[in-house]
Amino acid sequence: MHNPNPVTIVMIEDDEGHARLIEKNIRRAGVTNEIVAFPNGTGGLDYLLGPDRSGLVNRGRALLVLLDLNLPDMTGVDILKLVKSNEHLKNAPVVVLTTTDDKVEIQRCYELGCNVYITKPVNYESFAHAIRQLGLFFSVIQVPEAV
Amino acid sequence: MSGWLNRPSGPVVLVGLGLVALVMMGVISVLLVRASERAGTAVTETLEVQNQILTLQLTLRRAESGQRGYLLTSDPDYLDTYAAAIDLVMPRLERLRILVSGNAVQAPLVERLGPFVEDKVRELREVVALHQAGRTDDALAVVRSDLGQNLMTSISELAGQIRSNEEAGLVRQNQQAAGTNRLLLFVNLAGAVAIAVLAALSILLIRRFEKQTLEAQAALREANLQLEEKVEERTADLSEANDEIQRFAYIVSHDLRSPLVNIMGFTSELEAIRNDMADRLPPPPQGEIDPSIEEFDEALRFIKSSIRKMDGLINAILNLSRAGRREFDPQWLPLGELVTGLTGAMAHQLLEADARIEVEPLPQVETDRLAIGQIFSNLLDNAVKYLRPGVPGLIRVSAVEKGRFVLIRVEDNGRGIEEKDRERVFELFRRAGPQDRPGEGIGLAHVRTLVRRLGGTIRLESEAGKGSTFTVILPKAWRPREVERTRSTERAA
Repeated sequence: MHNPNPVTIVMIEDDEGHARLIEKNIRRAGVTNEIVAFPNGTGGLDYLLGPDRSGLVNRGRALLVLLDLNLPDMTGVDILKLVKSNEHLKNAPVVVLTTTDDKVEIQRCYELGCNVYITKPVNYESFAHAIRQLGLFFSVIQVPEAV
Repeated sequence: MSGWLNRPSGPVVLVGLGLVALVMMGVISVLLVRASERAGTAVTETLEVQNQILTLQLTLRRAESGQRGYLLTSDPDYLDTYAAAIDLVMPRLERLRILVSGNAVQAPLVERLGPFVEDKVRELREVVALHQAGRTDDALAVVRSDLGQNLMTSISELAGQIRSNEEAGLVRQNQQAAGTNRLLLFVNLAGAVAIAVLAALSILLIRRFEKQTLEAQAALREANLQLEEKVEERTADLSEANDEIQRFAYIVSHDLRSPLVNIMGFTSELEAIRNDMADRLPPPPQGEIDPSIEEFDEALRFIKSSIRKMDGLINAILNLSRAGRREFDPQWLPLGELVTGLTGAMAHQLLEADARIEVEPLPQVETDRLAIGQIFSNLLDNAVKYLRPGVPGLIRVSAVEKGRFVLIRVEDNGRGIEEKDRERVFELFRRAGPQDRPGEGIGLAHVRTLVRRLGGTIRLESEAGKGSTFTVILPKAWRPREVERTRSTERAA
């Protein structure tokens, strides 16, 4: 991964354990990109869209969002909507990572522009595998041109 | 008004009374008319007797005056008059006798009259015979004797007595006839009045019952309306509670899963660390395993198997709550084909278990295909699963239609379910009997939830060691629980 404009991974996940496991597996997959973690939706949005929620702060930056749907202060769907409707962030890939495998929920996320939807399985092997798959995903990320 | 009149049978009783009054009037009228007829006959008889006695007296007088004329003038014309009259006397007496034969008072009088008449006739004949024989003086002597005059007087007296007797009878009979007629009139009038009163009373009562019936109907409508409102209220409460439970199950299963992911994840991490550490430890002597490592592995095994079990349970709850949230797609389904299809898919299972399934003709039902499939595949699966060892399984699926419902029976000859377990088997994670078959205790709980959501119920009859019968009762036409409606309106909002 020698990218001149390296992708920053923004992880919004309230469960510390999950966050840690995700990070471990990302690292295990050989991904060395910076990971910025937020335990709630507000902190995540502050980082992604800036305090003014305009998204200008991240104009031209390569971001990958790892998003949990069950957050204490808002739902991940709200964050997904805001990111995908923001002109500066809409191209940033969003990976929804959640325990919900409800088909309606998954469908909704894809409709809102989610790029990958990963169900956190209790089976750790599958979980680790799914996270490691993200490593492949990194290689196809189109880093937006700096304007 | 007395109690019986206020009952609905009141008018009927009144009509009955009217009928009785009519019949009584008829009977009395017939009796009275006959009495009056009898009186009429009696009057006729009286008049006849009087007439006859007068005729008898007249005939005697005519015979006597003919005889006297003959004696005075010897004119044969007088003799003819005499002869015509004298021959009629005895027949007329006989006629009179017949007329009074039934009368205890008059018959003896007529009997007493008989000898006088005979003597008189004999006297008249004797005089005429003497005169014809030329013995006119002897004839006149007979006439001069008081014998003939006395006889006539006796006859007149007796005849007068008979006539006056008859006269008295006539007056009596007339009075009687008048009484009878008055009675007849009275009875008819009284009957008419009674019937009119009864009719009026009946109309009054019928009116009153009609009013009461209308009031009762109105009250019933009112009650029904209130009942419907109540039912709607309850149903709304119930569907709210049901939704609450569904949400609860959903949230709980999700929230339980989150920590479980951690437990599993970090357990695996621990395992990885253990492997690293084991590699770093000095290798144990050949063929031996470090006891602490062994204990570590045992602990890990228990943790992992417990996690898997817990994951299974959480998934079951999740599926159940999902089944409870799924939107149904009601359509007319040929149950027979559907169940036969299910049995076809179980062919291998049936062969292994030495069982067969008989599907009798089943009706069409408007309901959800997927739910019906899940219900019956669970029931059939259970029936095949819990057979009696050594007894070939026979499972029969049959149905009866009752009103707006269809009762579908799944009957087996398997091991049966003990009385104490019959409610338990429908509860989540509960199972009955020897635990020698794999299963999580979800099937029947799922079945019951589905059947209820389809607007039906499920019943279980069973005898331990003989077999079980599950009866699924479904509405023939789509009629789900109110839950569906409230939920879809919520979604729409």
